[in-house]
Amino acid sequence: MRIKNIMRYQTTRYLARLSFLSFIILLVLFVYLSLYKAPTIFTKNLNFVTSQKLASDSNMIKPFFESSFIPQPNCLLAAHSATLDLLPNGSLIALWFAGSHEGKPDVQIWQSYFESGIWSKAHPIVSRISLAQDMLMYIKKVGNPVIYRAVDNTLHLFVLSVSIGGWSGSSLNHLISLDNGVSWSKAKKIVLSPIFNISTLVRTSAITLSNGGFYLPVYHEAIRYYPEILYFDASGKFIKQLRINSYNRMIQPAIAIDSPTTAFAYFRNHINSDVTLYTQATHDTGKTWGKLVATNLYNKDSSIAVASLGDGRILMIRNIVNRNRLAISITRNGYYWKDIVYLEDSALDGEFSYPVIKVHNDIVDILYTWQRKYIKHVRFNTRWLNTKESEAL
Amino acid sequence: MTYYIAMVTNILVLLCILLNIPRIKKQSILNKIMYIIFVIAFSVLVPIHMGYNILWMMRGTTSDLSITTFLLALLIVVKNLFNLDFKIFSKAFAIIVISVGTVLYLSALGFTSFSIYDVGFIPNIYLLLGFLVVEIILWRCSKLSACLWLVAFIAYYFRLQTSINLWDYLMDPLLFFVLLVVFLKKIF
Repeated sequence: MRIKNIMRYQTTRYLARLSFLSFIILLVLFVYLSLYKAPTIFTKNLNFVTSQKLASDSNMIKPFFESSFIPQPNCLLAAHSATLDLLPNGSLIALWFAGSHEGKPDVQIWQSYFESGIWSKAHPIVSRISLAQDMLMYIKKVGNPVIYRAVDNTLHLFVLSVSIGGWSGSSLNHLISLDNGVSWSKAKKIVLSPIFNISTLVRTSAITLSNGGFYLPVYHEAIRYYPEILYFDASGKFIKQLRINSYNRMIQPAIAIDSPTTAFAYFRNHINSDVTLYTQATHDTGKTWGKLVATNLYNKDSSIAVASLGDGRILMIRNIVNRNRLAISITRNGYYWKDIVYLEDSALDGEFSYPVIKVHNDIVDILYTWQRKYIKHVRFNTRWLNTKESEAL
Repeated sequence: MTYYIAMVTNILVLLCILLNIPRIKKQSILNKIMYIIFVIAFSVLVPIHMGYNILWMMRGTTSDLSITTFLLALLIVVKNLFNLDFKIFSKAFAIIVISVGTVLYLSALGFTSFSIYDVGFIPNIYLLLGFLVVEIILWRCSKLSACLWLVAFIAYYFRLQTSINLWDYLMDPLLFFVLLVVFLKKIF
């Protein structure tokens, strides 16, 4: 009897040790496999793709400036937050959100093409219902689309959706198109926060990386405010997020590339007591960001757009303090800016906001919200810009 | 797959609440099963707001709950359904989740200059070694808790949820608050 008890005790001890050992082996195995499977995101040669050098300022090229509104159905009383990109055939694709009022359930993401100098009539591509059906969850409202054409010509569309609360409760959804926006894939949710995946917002344009991947600037605005960048690989798969700063007021980072490794991020300043427009620079392709530096410009909580002109200059579209004036500014060093011309200058309480820029060849295309009713398109060439710049000096 | 895991987790959370109602707790197994069937049918079939059922509403509100919550909720349901007697929540597990969760959520809200959540996208050797140490401690204190996180880790390896971040498999704010309440109850 005693021997039997000893044997049973020994067996239990051996089993306990064996289970512990197998637990450890399993654990080590998965830790090893996780490391083995983990992608490396920062290769030594990862660079920004700098924009093409603009055409020379030849006297043969005449300056031109034109503007138009993107036509949309009369039922749309409010339009806001446009995004823009260039298609392989040279035409433009624009998207924005519109409906009876910002945040209403009838708001949808609308799309239009600019071909042969004419905008096509807008048509809806994403609604809160279509997003809800794609992701099998309740969606209250949609907003802020951002489009990006990847190196392989895949169009990536990022759209905000809110299920509970206001815009600070937003989460990010990703759609792709392989046929220049004719059809879009089902939306996929990107999980970016451990707190019920809330408060990741997108507004500004993505930037291309030398490995075919891209950075998408995003920001957080629940309780505290901070900007981030999301890294997507060449296949368009989200890999990792990186925080730019934690100053609790910098949102909607707009990034302009200065060289293959250097870029400047400019922020919408969310604190009204300090209306300085700040910038932060990276010199290692976004891996680390320097200190926040004040520019000579003001920003009173309004969205900005920046783009490199490819000749050492960076172009910015911004509101002059309030949203009733919209200006084009230029810098040559990233910090000191000069206002060149006003795109809109209303003495009344107008709103001309949320600009987006696309620079291609010799052309600069700009979209912005016009009085919260329409999306206005402005197109000019560098000859016109250079003329205005020399006039402003 | 990710959708079904999320929906089953939401159903299990609802069942946890249901089976912890004192009146239902005292019922027979057969009655409890009837209640469970009713809750599942209601949550799947009945739209409660703008045509959405409670599961879609829950998913919109809480996003996808963690694998740990899924397993814990499953254990609670099985325990309450068959009136089994085994310990689900361990003090060590609660302390680890509360302490890690506090730092994780504060950093995610921007109270720190660094982000712990970011590390979960591509776990480095330090995070994984830390996880290994925590697992060994948990195994010594509560084998069940250690197994829960090991399963969650395996689920992360196979990316069984929408998220690609390790933290989303290990914990979520709902688990954090439940464990905080359980822990405070045990102390006071």
